[in-house]
Amino acid sequence: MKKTLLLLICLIVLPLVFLTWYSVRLEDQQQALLKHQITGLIETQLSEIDQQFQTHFLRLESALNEEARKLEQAKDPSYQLASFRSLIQSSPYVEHLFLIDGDGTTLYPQASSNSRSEQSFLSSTLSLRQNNALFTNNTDTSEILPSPPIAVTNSATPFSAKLRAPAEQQELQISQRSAFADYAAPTAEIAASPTPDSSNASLTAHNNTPVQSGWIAWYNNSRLQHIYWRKDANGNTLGFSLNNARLLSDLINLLPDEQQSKIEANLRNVSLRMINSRGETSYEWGGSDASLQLKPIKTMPLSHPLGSWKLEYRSPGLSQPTSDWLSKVLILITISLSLVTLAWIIYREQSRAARLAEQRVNFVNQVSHELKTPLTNVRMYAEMLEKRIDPQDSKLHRYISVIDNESQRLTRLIENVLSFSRMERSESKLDLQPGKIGDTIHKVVEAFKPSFDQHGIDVKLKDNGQQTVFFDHSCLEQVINNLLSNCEKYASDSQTIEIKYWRALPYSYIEVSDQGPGIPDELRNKIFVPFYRISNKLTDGVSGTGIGLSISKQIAQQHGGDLYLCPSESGACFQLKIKTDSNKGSTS
Amino acid sequence: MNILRLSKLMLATALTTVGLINAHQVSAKQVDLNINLATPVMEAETRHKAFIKISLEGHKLEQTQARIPANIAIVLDKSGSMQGDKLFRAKEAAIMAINRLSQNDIVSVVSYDSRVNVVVPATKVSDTNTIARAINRIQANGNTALFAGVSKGANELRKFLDLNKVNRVILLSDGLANIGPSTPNELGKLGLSLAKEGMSVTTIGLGLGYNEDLMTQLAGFSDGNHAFVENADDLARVFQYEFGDVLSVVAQGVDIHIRCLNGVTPLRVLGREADINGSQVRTRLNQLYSEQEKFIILEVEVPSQQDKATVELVDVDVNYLDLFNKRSEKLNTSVTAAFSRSETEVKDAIDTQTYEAAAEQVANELNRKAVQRRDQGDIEGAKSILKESAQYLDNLGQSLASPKLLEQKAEALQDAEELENDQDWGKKRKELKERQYKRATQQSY
Repeated sequence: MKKTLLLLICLIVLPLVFLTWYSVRLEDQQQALLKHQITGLIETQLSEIDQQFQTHFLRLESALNEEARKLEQAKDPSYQLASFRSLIQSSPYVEHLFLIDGDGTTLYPQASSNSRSEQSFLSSTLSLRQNNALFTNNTDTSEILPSPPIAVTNSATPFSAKLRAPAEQQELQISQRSAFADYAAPTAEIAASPTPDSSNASLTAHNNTPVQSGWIAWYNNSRLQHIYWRKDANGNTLGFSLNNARLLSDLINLLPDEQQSKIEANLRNVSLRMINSRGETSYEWGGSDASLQLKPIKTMPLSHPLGSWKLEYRSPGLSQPTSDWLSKVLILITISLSLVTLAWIIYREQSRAARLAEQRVNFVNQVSHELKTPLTNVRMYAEMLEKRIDPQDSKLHRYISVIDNESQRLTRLIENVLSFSRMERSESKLDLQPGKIGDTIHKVVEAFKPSFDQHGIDVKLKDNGQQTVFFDHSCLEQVINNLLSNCEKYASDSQTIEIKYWRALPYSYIEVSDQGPGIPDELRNKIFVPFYRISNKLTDGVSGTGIGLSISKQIAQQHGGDLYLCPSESGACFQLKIKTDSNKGSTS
Repeated sequence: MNILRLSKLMLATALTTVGLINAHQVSAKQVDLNINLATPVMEAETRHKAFIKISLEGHKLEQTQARIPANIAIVLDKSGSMQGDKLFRAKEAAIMAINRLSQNDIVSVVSYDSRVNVVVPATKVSDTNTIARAINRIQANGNTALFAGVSKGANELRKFLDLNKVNRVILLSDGLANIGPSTPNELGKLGLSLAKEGMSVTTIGLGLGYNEDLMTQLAGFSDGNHAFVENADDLARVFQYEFGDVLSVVAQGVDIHIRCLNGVTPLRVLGREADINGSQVRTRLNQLYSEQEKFIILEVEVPSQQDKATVELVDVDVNYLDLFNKRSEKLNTSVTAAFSRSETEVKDAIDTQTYEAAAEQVANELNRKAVQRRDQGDIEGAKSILKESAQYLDNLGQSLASPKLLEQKAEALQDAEELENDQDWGKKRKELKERQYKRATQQSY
């Protein structure tokens, strides 16, 4: 019963474990895939923002180039410093201007200026202006990237696909942008520029000289400041220092507001932040506000000149997708519930059948026990009667021997039934007593004698074992009984039955062979299975319980031996092997 | 995009200037320029410090004249602290003010907490009910992204930015900016940039939680107004004043260019931001209102002159955009000083009104310094500055027989008293900042 329970539990648990494992794995895979896809989408979304910012810088660049060109045109023959001042005063973007000549001398703002803002600008940018290396373009890149020259056209769309060009200089604090090639330039220089600007290209066409320019991002009082510089044909460097508050304001205006975030599908459930170089939030947008406490799913640094800034992407929907889990867990629960129900039903049926069977066995046991007493009486009185009757009256003797035979048969039957049930309950124990095996065989053969005589069967005893050994007398008796009973039943036309007994330490062997029809080879093992009866012409019509051989085999095995069918030319030949010893207790 | 738009605008203005320059003499000017010297006669043979007042006043609007269209962005703080009565009053005040506008005006409403929401994108004021409904839907929540709010508000103005309109952001906040830039300097820079585009920002600080330095800087650099409103019930009134101002603008983009002549050196400009470069001083007013006098006080050093000499001290050029005639105008004037050895002559010539105005600004500067000192924790120092200021005002008030200056003296003494109270300092500081700002910019309310 316990076994069944264990089996059923296994039956429930194993598929469940497998299913759970499988669904977890599947879910994991799906998650990973989803995450990968989403990360890709997020990256695209963030880099689009970065591109927008880059475009803004390009626009600024072209606007500033325009201003620079105007300042250059106003030269007479040197720059008009008054025009610098009026530019600063009128431009919302430019906070300060500086002009450095080819020797590195700052021409504007003048050191003698009594303007406070100019003086503070001069002192804060002192080291910057003295570092000449900042205002040169890195021509090395053109050697690293020897791509064919790109034709420069005055295209109507100033910011075209080249914005997608990889930004190699993203990590650099100071961009070293290469010159914009003009029409005449035959070199591959233009390809070296990561963000060439065709509006600039058309601009430079006016001058017909390559122009060097670039962005410098630097920190002033831990705030990011931007300077756009440009070299003119005479080697003067013109620097525009931007109003950083205005720049940020413009960048913020490129980003969506809350209303827009709620309309756009890819912003509805997310929260985005622009983080400045000090780790402070500069701007926050997106349709979700519950996600402020979450860790960012993706953080992307912005490209130069906003190199130290980054974008953070948060979303509550991505970190815990519960909806899918719920259905899977539900399915698992349903399956396990139905399995448990099924197992419970099976277990109940099984235990009821087992109980019934036990009751039957008990009943049979009881009945068999009850039968034993009257049977003993029948035999006892038959024996007493035999002694009292006239020895001459052969007819009466025959009657009594029939009674005796039949009651012996009945005894064997009952004995078999009882020992079978004992074996089932594993209750039987060996009762080892000293004795001679030959005597036991004789005794059994004697008992069968009347019946064998009747069938004309001759029993040949080849017995050379007269040693005293320890064995369970009644058990051995029962085995030989069963074997002889089978001979009586199935080999009644056999002429002789040969019983051999020999000893080969530590075993004793008893072989019973008949001349009957024998047992087909394919059934050799089946005959030892309980309740199995060979069904053929021979056995039909002969009554039997089908437990004799199996009990005998078990008894033999209890004796540390075996009972098996020996191959023989004719008839059946059973060999019994039991462990016998001259000393008690050595068999087990 | 914005840059292109702006440059186009500037180009247009320039063209108008060129095109209409011939008509210059024909029509009446909308603005009066006056330049006065506090001491028109100075003692000869010694160096002097002198105050020059350059004042500009818009003319009275005539009934028949069509009003100048306004382009207004109202930026409302809806952070958590605005919850309840404050936000309710703010919405009410905004709606009431918008109802004063007409079809030619453009309005936009931006609200902000941690994020920014354009509640009403820039639109013509034709359907005030829809606008009011949108405003009423605003609910308080979150932090204070003030910088981004102003940025988005300015961006709404840019959609219809026109130098012939009054372009103004009206910012209402009750808290400290805590998302995005939050220093007065950064907001001031933003204000400066917006002013260069022709926008001004009026800042209204509500309650005692806002940063008055930030709000005055933002307003100051863009030449907007500033008000401290302690009680939300007063919001409606302040909005009405503000809109009254906006609707009475007569001129914009007022560039003042002062050249000091004959060895005169500029020392400082009182009250307003100005760029002093060599002998030249440049400053800018974003707009002039009808019947409101705006002035700047320039302190100069005059080299010693001979007796009976008359010397031209400064020459002033003013450029502005006349909104009614939609053209650029130019005004020019200069001031001369006489020098004499006679003390009575010097004393008799004193321009009381000008001197009064100058003294008011000088005291105002001292008041600012006192607040700075108090911020550093030096209460005694702050007090002594205020007492010095009171002394100065008292002396001048007596000699000029000016009740206005004596009043200001009493005010300074009272301020000195109230400096000590730590508990009320937050409120007092806001009051002082507001008063200083109003004095310096001659704000009408």
